[in-house]
Parts: sequence; C-alpha cells; structure tokens
Amino acid sequence: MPSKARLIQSFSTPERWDHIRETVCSTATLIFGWLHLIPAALHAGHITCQTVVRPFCVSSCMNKYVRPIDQNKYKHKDGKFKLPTWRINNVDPDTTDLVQVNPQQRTQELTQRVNTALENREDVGRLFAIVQVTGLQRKVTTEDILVISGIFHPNIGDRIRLEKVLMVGGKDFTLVGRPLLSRDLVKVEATVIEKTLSHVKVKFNYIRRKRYRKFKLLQSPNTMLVINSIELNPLPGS
Amino acid sequence: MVFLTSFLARRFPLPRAPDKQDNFWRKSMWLRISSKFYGRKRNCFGLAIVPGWRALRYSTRARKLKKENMKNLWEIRLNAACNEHSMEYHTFMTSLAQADIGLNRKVLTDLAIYEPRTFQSLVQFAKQRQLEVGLESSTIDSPHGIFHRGLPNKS
Repeated sequence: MPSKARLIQSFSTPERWDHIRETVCSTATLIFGWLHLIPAALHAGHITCQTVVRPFCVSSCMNKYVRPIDQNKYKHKDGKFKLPTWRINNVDPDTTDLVQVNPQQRTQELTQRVNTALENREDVGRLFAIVQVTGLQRKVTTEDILVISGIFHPNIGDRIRLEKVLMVGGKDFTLVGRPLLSRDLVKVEATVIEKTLSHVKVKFNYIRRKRYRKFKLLQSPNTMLVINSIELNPLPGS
Repeated sequence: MVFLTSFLARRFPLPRAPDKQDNFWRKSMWLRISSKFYGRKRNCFGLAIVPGWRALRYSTRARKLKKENMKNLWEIRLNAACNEHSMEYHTFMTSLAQADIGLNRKVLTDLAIYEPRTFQSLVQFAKQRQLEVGLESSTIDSPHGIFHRGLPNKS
C-alpha cells in the first residue's frame, strides 16, 4: 500500500484536481475532509462526497470545516492552483488498538449494557454532561455553578432546562451526540441563583499626537446557574 | 466613596467654571491606577500618567489576546493528547467535524485531562472514521467499545 502522502501527491496536479472536483462535486462545494476523501474515493471505486452544507453549527470550531475551498488562497506566485501540502502526514495513525466487530451487533450489546448499568444506580457513578449555554460549551456535573456573562433572560429562582447537551458520561460509558443528544434521552436542569455585574473592565485607547483618546468603563451582567440534576433515560432500541 | 473626615471637603466640586475645577480627583484616579508601579511612577503624577495610559491600553488589548492565547494552548494540549494515542491533531479534529460531533477545543482539552477514557474512545472513533474514509474502507468493521448509532459503516 503506498503511503498516503505519495497517493495524494500523485493526484495533486491542478488538472487532475479540477477533474475530481467537477466529477465529485458538480453542484455542491467540496467542503471538508477533502484530503482524505480523494484517494479513498478513487481506491474504493465509488465516489462519495460528504459535502452537505450544514444548516447550523453547534460550535464555532466546526466553522473551519464548513467552508468552501478558496482557490485563490492556495495560488502560487505564477498563478497556478496548488494543493496545500502542509497537513499531509506521512505516518498513518496506529490502528492496532482497534478491534473489528460487526457494528449492528455491537451497538445492540452496548445499548443493553448501558441500560442495565442505568437500572443499577451504583454502576453509573456521577454523571457529567457537556452543555452549550450562550454559545459556550462547558463540562458540568450536578451541584456545579456556572457563570454566564452577557445578556441572559431568566430571572432569579427560575428553574430552566439546558437543552443543548453534546455529551453525557458516567463511570463506564459516554454518550456522544451528533451534534446533540435528544431531549428524551438526557435532561439537565439548572436554577438561576444570582444576577450580578462583572468586575469593571477598562476600555482605553489613544493615538499619540492625534488628540484621540477613548476611556470607557464596562461591566457585563453575570448570571450564576446551579446544575440541579443530570438525568439519563434508558436508551431506545435495546 | 465614604469620607470619614472633612479633610477632602475642600476638594468637592463646587459650581465653578470648567477650567477652574479642581484637578485633584482626576490626578488621584490616575495615581490610583499607578499605585503599584515601581519608583517615582508610583507617586509623581507627571511620571505616572503615561505608564498608566500604557497599562490600560495593554489591559484593553489583553482581553482579546487572552482568547487567542487560550486557543493556542488548547491546540497544544490537544496535539499532545492526540499524540499520546498516536493520532494527529488535525486528523482528529477533521474526523470529529465530519461525524457531526460539535465539541470545541476547550471541552476536548478538559476531556483529555479529566476524562481520559472518554477522550481515548473519541480518538478511537476518529481512527475508525479515518479507516472507513481512507484507503482500507472496504474491509474494516466497527471497533470494540465504540458506541455507533446510525453512523454509516462504510462510506
């Protein structure tokens, strides 16, 4: 098997790339994972294109990948389009720790094991969840206090449910959402306990000899949340 | 501000013309900012004010720089955490994004530190994803211990 770098190099001439781009994605733009997709598609004999433009991204870290490739960005001085090569890795990842089992069968087994663990409460341990509140992801457990800076509408004493749960984990298992876990599966509840202002931040700037000076004191509203409970229902389809 | 004595009473703003107002409060503000500086910058207003401006400018910029620095730190940590499992950072992040897993760098770093088994399973997921997408796509099945749900097995 030739190394990944060599394969990609052999397909990285501009004409070849244009041909692939037209055949693989005639209408959609080739968005992410293209370094891995091209040799795979050619090797497997069938070309798949994972180029659906997602309607929304949960996290801004995905924006990097949901972006069409800008050819001008990768142009040389002579104007020719060239594939970027700085991310190509000569070393394939060590995959010896992967054990290959039939996925459908494995899924059922794992579901069953998680469900039995949920029945015996001692086996689960203290659950943690990764929630997204006001655009920030945080890893929380019960009795944690979150500080949310910025405008947050719930008032003191309100009991709210954090809807965007990206991950829930216990002692022996972790459930990962793609991107979110369903509402029926996980329930993370929180109470607003305090609404205050942050410390005073100074916004100051000047340009010397130009009579330009700005001085402003800023305080952002802060809201404290207590995580009351993280409840996990049994998985469907066991 | 609470005044326990009448010592500062003569500094209170009186109805005066703007150019006749007392400079005391303005100067004391800047001296309060420079109160921890070294040398005569601490006490002499004429020496204190320019370093005071500079300090405030730095603090204004630092609020933005802190975010960039933290992002770099998370990338470094994630890179190290991925290398521990013989995986590349960029490959890992790309695989997660391809599979619609929207965890950001901060949370992934937290997982790598405090939930190492969860992070290891994510890395294994990424490796599996690489294999499915990669050259040996036609022969590989799901790995042991990874919870697949609705994931296309073979791309």
